[in-house]
Amino acid sequence: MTEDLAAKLAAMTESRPEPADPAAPVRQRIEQRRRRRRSTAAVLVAAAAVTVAAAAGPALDALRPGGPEAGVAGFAPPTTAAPMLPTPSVTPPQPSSPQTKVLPEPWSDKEFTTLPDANAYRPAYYVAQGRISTGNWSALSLSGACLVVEEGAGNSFGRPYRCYTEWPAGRSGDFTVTPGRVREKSATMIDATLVMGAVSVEARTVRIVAGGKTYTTDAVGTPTSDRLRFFALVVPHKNAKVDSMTPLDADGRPAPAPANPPTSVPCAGQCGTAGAPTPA
Amino acid sequence: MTRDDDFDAFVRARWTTTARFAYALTLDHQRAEDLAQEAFTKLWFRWRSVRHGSPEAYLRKIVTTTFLSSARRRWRGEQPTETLPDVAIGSATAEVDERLALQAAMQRLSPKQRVAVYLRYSEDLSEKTVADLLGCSVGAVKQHTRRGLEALRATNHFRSPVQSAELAGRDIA
Repeated sequence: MTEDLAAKLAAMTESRPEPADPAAPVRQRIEQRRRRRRSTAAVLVAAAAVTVAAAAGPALDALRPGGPEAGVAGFAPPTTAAPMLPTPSVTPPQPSSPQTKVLPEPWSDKEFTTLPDANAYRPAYYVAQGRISTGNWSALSLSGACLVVEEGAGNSFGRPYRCYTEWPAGRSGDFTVTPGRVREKSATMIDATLVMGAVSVEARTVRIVAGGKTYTTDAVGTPTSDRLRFFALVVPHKNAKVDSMTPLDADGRPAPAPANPPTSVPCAGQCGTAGAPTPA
Repeated sequence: MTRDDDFDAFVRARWTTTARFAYALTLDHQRAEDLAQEAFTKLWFRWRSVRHGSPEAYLRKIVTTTFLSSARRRWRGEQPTETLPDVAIGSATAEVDERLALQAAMQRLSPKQRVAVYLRYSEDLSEKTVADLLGCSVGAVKQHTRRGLEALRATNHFRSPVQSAELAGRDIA
């Protein structure tokens, strides 16, 4: 049988439709595959870039010395985005250095690590987070009894930055009211008001009456201060009038004023203003 | 001559041979054309390195491996049938009957047996070359070929037109 098998196989395969130009469909396939390879490569490069960016944060943190450089009260923290080189820790700790004492709940030691802003605020800890129509916002506690609000591209509150270092005798809490506003023509209109502030460590919650309604939020302790707790919340309506702010202790009674509040230091003009330091 | 012109000329020159080989493996015109185009496409991405060597051998290797890979997939797995579902109607010549009978017999072979039988007896390649293409030993090629021929003998006598017609699922009045 094998003698004529070759001829029969040839006969079996010879009656096929032949394309006019076999190179044309092949060329078309090659182009399709090249395009697919290019898009796949682009996706892979983008994914790799995101992975590297995500891994860079913890890696840079690991390079830092044990005690992060603290901002001096009243001054904006350093704005450089460059990683800090380890230096010998021979100087005594500054009063505004992050403390290691853990306060009773509510407590937050979740560090803000989003680069490059995290380099400017280092160290910064979340006090409150939320979402408004223009995007997410986060209130961060910084060294020096300061609060800053991080926002997305909407920038509806203008990233307010405030250091709570003015404590007349008997003041139980201090707060800042920032109405949502259109800072730029392209910014989205927002109908909300941000209230943030500081109270004594004895406080656990803060009761706020604004626009005729009562709101309660946590007074959060963070590693940046063992003398103050911080709070932040967004209430509805632009220009909502805050009628009162009352810090409450664990039993729901009015909390006392800070016993040993941080004091102000000479400041270069950014203290107490609603202008956040510009992150690198 | 540019790289593309060079490649296009190669495609035109080798299309018929490659398509025949692909048809012998797939036993389906559309799948054969698809397999041949796929093989040439894969070859293009290695054209720079193989153009001055032996692109024909490399192309044959691509056709074989692509076919075997597709044959391993469940969704492309072939379903051998007792009779060909698409028997030509109206052709009563012995030549057509023989072709259909051989096609039916080839369909009963395993993919590797089909490759071995075709390359050994149609393209007259050595057992060593076929072993390289299949990625197996010469002994395995001998076994694939022997079993393939036995299967063809068992099912395909194609000596008489009547027997061939019976195998192709047709009766000769």
